[in-house]
Order: sequence, then structure tokens, then C-alpha cells
Amino acid sequence: MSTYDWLLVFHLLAAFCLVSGSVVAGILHWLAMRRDRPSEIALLLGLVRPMVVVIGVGSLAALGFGIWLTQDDPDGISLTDGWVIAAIVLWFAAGALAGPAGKRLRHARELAERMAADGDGPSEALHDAVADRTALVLNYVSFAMVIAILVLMVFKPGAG
Amino acid sequence: MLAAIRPTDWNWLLFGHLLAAFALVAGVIVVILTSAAAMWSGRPQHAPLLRTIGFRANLVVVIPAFVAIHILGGLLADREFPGGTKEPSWLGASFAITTIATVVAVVLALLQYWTLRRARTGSVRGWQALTATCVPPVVLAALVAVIVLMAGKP
Repeated sequence: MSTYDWLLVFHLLAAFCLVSGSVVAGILHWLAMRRDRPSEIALLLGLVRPMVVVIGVGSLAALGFGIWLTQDDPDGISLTDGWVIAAIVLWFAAGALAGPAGKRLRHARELAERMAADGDGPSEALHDAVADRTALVLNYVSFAMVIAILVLMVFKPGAG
Repeated sequence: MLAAIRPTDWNWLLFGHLLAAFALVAGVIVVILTSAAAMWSGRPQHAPLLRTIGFRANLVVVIPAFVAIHILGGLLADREFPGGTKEPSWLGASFAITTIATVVAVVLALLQYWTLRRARTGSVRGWQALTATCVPPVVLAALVAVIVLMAGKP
């Protein structure tokens, strides 16, 4: 395997960390929204924590290896191609939206942990925190941007 | 980058194949996380919930995604290597690993159901639970190997 092949392997593995990690976080968040007991919500949101690391590492690695690939691409793909620039812009935008959403969910998890230690009774305030509309919208838009990056990577609009 | 060497008219197939693969890996990770938490979190009262999530993730996400990547991967392979063309070894190895992993996922579902039934009666340990917890990481490792084969085409 050539250097380019290895770069492609690492780029793809990083993309799996980013996309699949985001899907896992979304599934666990959705499941947490459907529970009432704070201990169960804390448990499910707690499982999101390792995925945050996976998503972060995958996100940075996908960008880094992607840029590296453009330096050595046999098909002449360049960092200045329109679809590559669009993908990088979407990458920054997705990250900018996911950050605040993650902070809101961290507060929800911390609230759930406190309530779990304090009787573990259902709470409307906790339910509202877990189903925070702003966090949901930010996450949905951020994930849509990640899918848009994937579409650009596969279809490469404008590439020769 | 992902589609660097494929003609553009295959892109929809490749896109669907990739989406199924991303969903598959996500489903396996959910199974790994919930199974490990059920086994080792130190909160046995949550084991039935976690085992239920892992079981359903396997049934609803992992197994259907395995079927999807088989179908879409087969269609892509037929186009890239039409009848009579010899398939490269990396493709044969990838199909073999994926097929074995699919069978393992189906057997795992049966084991997960058994483990879930036991968890609901208060038995959160035992070889059934341990096996149902240790097999999913092996499936993930197999998928990583397939990704390396698919991307690197050694």
C-alpha cells in the first residue's frame, strides 16, 4: 500500500469516528429523552461522554488527513477546489454548532446526576433540560452539515 | 476523497453503502457501550434497561445494516468487476469477514435475548452476559479490518 492509500485509510477511519460517533451520541440522547428517572438519564448521558472524545479525535483527524490527501492526490484534487473548500467551511460550522449543544447536554447530565443522588424522582425541570430545544436544533443542524460533507466527499461536485 | 477512483454514476450506490456502514458501526458501538455498562457499571438495577437497548440496537440497526452493506456492496462489486472479471483478494476477504460478522451478529442477538431474560430476573453476570459483552468488540474489530481493506485495497 502506498502513502496515499494509508492516508485514505486513516481519513476514512476518522470519518467513521466522526459520523458513527455522532449517531451513537444522538441515539443515546434520544433514549435519555424517553426516560423519567434521573439515574437512568444520567447513565445514558454518561455513555455519551466517551463518544465526545471519539467524535473530537475523528473530527480533527478527518480534516487533517483530508488536507494531507489533497497534497498527494493522483486525481489532481486540490485544496482550492470548490467542493473541498465547501467541506472545510461546513466542518468548521458543524463544530461551532456542536460545541454549545454539548455544553447544554453536559449541564443536563450534571443535573440528572444530582437528582439521582437526591431521591431519583421524576422532574419536569430535568426533562426540559434533557429535551432542550436549542441543543436539539444545534445538534440536528450540525449533523446535517456532517452529512453534507459526506455528500461532497462522495459526489465531488465540480471535480473533473 | 472517499470516491476518488469511482465513476460518478456509481456515487448513489457508494453513498448508500457508506451510510449503511456508518449506521452499522454506530449500532455496534451502542451495543458495546450498553453491554459493558450493564456488566461493569456497578449498577445492576440498570442492567435490564441497558441489555434491552443493546438487544434492540442489534436487531433494529446492526443486522439490517449488515444486510444493506451486503446488498449495496454486492451491487458496487458487480459494477466494478463485471461478470468474468477476477475479483481482487481484498474484496473477497472483505465479503468473507462481513458475512461471518453478520452470522455472529445474528447469534449475538439470540444470546442477548437470553442475557436480557436473565437480567430481568436479577442475574446480571454469568457466561452468557460475559459472552454477550465480549463479542461486540470483536465484531467492531472485524469491521475496522474491513474498512482498512476497502479503503486501502492492498
